[in-house]
Amino acid sequence: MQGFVSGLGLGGVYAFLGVYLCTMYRLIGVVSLGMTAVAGFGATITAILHGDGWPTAAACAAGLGVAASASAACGWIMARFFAGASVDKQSAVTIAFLLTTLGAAQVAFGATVQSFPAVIQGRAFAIGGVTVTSVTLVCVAAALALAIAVPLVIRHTALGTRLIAISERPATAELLGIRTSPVAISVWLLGGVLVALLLLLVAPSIPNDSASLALLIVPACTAALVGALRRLGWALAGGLALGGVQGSMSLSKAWATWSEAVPMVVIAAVLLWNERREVWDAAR
Amino acid sequence: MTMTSAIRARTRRAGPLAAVGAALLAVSVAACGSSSSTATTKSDAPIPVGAIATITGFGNYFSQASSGAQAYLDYINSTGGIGGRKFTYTLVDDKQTPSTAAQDAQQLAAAGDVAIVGDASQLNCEVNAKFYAQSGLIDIPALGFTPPCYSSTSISPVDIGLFSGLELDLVYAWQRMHLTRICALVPDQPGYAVAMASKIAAWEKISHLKLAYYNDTLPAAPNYTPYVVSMKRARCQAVVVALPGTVQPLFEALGDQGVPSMAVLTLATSYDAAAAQVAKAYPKTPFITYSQFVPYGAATSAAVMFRKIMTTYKVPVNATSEAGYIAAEAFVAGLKTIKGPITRASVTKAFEGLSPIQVPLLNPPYTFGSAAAHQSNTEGLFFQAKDGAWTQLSAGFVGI
Amino acid sequence: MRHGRATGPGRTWVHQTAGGGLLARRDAAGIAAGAALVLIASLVLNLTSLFDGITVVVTALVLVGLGLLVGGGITCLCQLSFAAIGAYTVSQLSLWNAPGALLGWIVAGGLAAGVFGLLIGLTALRLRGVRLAILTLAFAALTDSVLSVVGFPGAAAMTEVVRPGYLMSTRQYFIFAGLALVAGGFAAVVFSRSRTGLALRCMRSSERATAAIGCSVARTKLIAFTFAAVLAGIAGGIEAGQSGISVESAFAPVQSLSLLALAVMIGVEYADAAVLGGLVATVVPNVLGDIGVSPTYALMLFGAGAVPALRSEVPPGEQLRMTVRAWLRRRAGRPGSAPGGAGHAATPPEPAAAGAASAAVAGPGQPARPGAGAPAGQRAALQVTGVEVRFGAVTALDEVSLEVRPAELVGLIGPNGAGKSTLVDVVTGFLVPHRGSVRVNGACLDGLPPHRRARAGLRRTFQQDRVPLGLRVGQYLRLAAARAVSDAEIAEALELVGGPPAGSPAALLDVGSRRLVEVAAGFLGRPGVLVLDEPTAGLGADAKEHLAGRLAAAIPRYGTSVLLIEHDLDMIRAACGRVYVLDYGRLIAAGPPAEVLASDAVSRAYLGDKVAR
Repeated sequence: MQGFVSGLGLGGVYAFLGVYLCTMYRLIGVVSLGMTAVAGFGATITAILHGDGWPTAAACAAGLGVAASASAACGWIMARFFAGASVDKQSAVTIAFLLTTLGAAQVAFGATVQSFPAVIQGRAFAIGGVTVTSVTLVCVAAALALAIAVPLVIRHTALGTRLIAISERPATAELLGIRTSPVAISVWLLGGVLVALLLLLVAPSIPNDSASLALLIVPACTAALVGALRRLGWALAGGLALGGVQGSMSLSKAWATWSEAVPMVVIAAVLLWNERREVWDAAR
Repeated sequence: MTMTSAIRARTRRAGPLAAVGAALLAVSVAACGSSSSTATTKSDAPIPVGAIATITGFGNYFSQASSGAQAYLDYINSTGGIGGRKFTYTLVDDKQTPSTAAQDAQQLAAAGDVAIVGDASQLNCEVNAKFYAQSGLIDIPALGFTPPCYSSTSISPVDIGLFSGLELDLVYAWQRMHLTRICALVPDQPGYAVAMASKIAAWEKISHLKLAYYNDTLPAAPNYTPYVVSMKRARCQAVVVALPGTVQPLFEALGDQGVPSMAVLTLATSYDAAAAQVAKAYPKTPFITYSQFVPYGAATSAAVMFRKIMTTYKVPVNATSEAGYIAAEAFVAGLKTIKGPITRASVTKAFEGLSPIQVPLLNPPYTFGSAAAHQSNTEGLFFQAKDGAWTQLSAGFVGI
Repeated sequence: MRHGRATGPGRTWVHQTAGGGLLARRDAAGIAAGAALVLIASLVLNLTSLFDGITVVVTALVLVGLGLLVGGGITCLCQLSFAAIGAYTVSQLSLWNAPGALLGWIVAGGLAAGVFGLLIGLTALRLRGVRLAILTLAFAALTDSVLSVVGFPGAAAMTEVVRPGYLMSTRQYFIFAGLALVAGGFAAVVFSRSRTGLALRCMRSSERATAAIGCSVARTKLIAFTFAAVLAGIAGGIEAGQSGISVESAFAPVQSLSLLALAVMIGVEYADAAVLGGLVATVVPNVLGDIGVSPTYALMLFGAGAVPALRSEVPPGEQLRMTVRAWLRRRAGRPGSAPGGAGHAATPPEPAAAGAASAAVAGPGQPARPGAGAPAGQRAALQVTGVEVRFGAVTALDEVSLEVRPAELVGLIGPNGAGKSTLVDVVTGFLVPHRGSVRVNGACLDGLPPHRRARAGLRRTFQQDRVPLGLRVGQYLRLAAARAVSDAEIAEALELVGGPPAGSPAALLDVGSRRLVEVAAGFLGRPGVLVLDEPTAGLGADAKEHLAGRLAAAIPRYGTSVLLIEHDLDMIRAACGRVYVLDYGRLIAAGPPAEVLASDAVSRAYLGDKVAR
């Protein structure tokens, strides 16, 4: 039990990232495997500037700016050259983003340990003797907010309708005069800012070297997968559960080895059950 | 696939005639060898020295050690070399792959290197220890990462290493900090558990204490919260952390879970400016580490010279480059005991018969010798991070 | 042109479909060339290069498997995990000193990886696209985390994998690995020509279409994953033998990601491009190091270079193949021929449709009313009884029954939304929850999945054309025929419907031509019943007329009855013996076209209540 709660900190991160990935997939039909790498790059810049003596706010602004512009650039490349490309092409492009950013991070930052400013501190409450931090609460709250707001926006606003058109039928949307590029790029940009902000919040409490931040995409994807990239609520729950289960398993020596295996098996089972009716690919 | 197994295979299949032939060949080679070495001393042929480091990939930070070694050898070259001969330094990349590390060693040996100095590879000792022994090569690593570095007859690193380093921290916490509830966190890498266990057992024997909490199943980049919760339950006063990478998440977790006063002791790799900066935001948590050499920022003439040489040859000044520098120093100091020409054979012989020598910046004397295991360095100068900088804690070097 | 004997009806020259004849002269030449290349390289290269060469070969072998999956539209991000499983198995068997020596252990490693490939393949039955990609990524992370803790067998004690005496030297091992690659590449080529391989490529465009021509989608996916995993497992085993002690960082998720990006970038759907991929992955970092660029830049450069490369319409692998083929053609001096290739070309020779097509398309004189068919009383070709489909409160089909007699051309018409396509989906097995039954030539098809129904003699075309774009017309027809067909038969079928030549790549055809190809494919399978779902949409008036006439000829030629769904009432009037009219899910009229089309009920259905005759 204690182990589970102690894993919720990371679980909150996974939950937010998972919900965000689902959102991105629903809005523009793409999952960017380089998202956390790019956002992490910006966050690391904040850490460096902060270490150089910049005031926290200015350093954060600079880092977020870098993350935003880099994400927007990725979005532009995607929209301009690869809109409507096959899944493997789009995946390959986002992998290219991931690798380029990882390489750039290696070159720019090396392996120097960074000190991330603690933007939010403080404890919230305790469960079973384990303190849940404010940061965790913020993560979960943000994830919840996204999970609630996004379906509302999609269903009840004109913007939402346009976004769905773009993600499901980009060609048709173009013919209807909806300019897909600016919308897609805005989604990427906003995503870059949001994820970079999240990483800035949580970086002090998690492994925060460039590689670890970049590879956060894997548990983020796993959480998103629980929701089959569609159901945001499931992604949120999946992320929390993933963190919690890993936390509780890490304490038992026997299970520590499998702390990543069991969640994945469970997720696969949940996912396949949810998707059991998806016998065929496209609609008629 | 190492050359040793290939040689073994071939000789297995060879018959008695081949053995005779091989013996004749060996004799003639030896004869040629000695004549060529006489020939070499007459000329200005350079002294080839090599090293293996991880240059590709995320472990490449430690290749600075080899740069430090190279800088020292360049400096010696600039003062005329040894016996009129200058050093050439070849650094090869192990690409984090055992087979490449093996290939590298063969390559260096084939190039005629007289010794391996200043390497910083996590694979080198494990993969090549036997090869070095069989090729008559000695290896002076700057940083030894794995147990074979400290238990091979041809290898004698200048650093303490992770395993004895853990023991040193435990000793300090018990002996100097007078703590009784001490805990340890160790990463789950193949081979670590056993090595760490033996060091812990040695400490438990002299301290008559047991670890209040010990976990050796940590992943390389863990979420510290569950472990902090367990350590809180075990009422740890201090935790020795043998993990690489940032400790900021550990400080955060300690603060979040209400035990900010638990002291954190880490290994020598933390002794640099960046780590102290990280701890600045967590003044409540004592963050303690040790410098396994005379601190690179010290005022002593040896340290001043170190910094000067690093700056001249454009190598960063930190504990890692210092390790390589010291390895090269130990090598050159050993060379100075050689009376005849400098060849691989004479170098190996000199180091196998080496009496402990004093090397600048290394506190204990450097030893080699022909024992089955070598660990010259078991001492550290302890520091605590205060206000973003390292403040010396212990009056002198603390040893195991 | 083909070599050797001329073809006659019923004889297939090389390649294709279940059954023999998968080996050809061109293949033997290709294998010989590949083996020769390996031997020459082993003699020419120095030890360091040979060592790297083994890595190139291993990477290429992994890419061969990955290429198969990518060709099937499957994005797999855990290919190296399969390789890791192979390496683990070999290391463990070596430690146990199991019988079989290295070769046996490598085979076992491939099989062990195959088991996991099968498991992942099972998830692919319900997951697709990005979801499947992410699942494979999670699997890659899972194997990485387990391996980094457990370690490879023997790694802690530094026990190397034992190599037999004849594979001790680097040179010998390189030859072994190279030959393994040639074998693996050839196996992949044979596979991609086989029925399952073609079905895999068909699946990339549409799973439904693949099922509709009688191929089981599930079986295809499972076989593809298993085969790709076996190749990767063997590659991993070879790597374990080379490195002696394996490290999990070589199989990390980020490496699998890089490999996929490389695969897509180079276009590794065939083995020759896989070798190119292996070279790029191994040589580029070395070259960068040699010219003084820090290897840390390599990652950045690769990522940055991948994006423009991904943009190119023709991937480098394909460009390479086209260049080689063109060069070989020039050397052979004959257009259209390529006697063996330096690589492992996979496409079968294009049959010269124009020359070989036989003219006979019709039997004895056509009946005046073409679709009249056999008199009533004979067993119906298609018997649909009481089909009912409800979606919640909406009744899509309400007690629909119809019948198509042998050699009959029956029309099914109705306004949009009447439920025609829903009925077709039900009848062909794509829509499961329904009531009612379907019989073809007396055999009950209830409960059978679409591909079984297709094999039982019930074929269909789709409203939205689903000819796979990755195949040539001839290949698709051969696949759809599900039996051994000669080039002449294929050409005949195409000529019958007025379709394009068999050598045309489907991707280059216009919609109308693709429709016609689908119709030809439907007939070529000699089904008892063929359901055509709006086949003339997108055709010009001339083509429509032509097709209408040809349908009449095709029915006796192939012994197939046709249920034709159409909007073009003139065509219905001209071609069909009987017509059914569907409106709001209910049959409102049935009978000869003239009668039905004149009736009030039908006019009201089409034109609305206000309009009366």
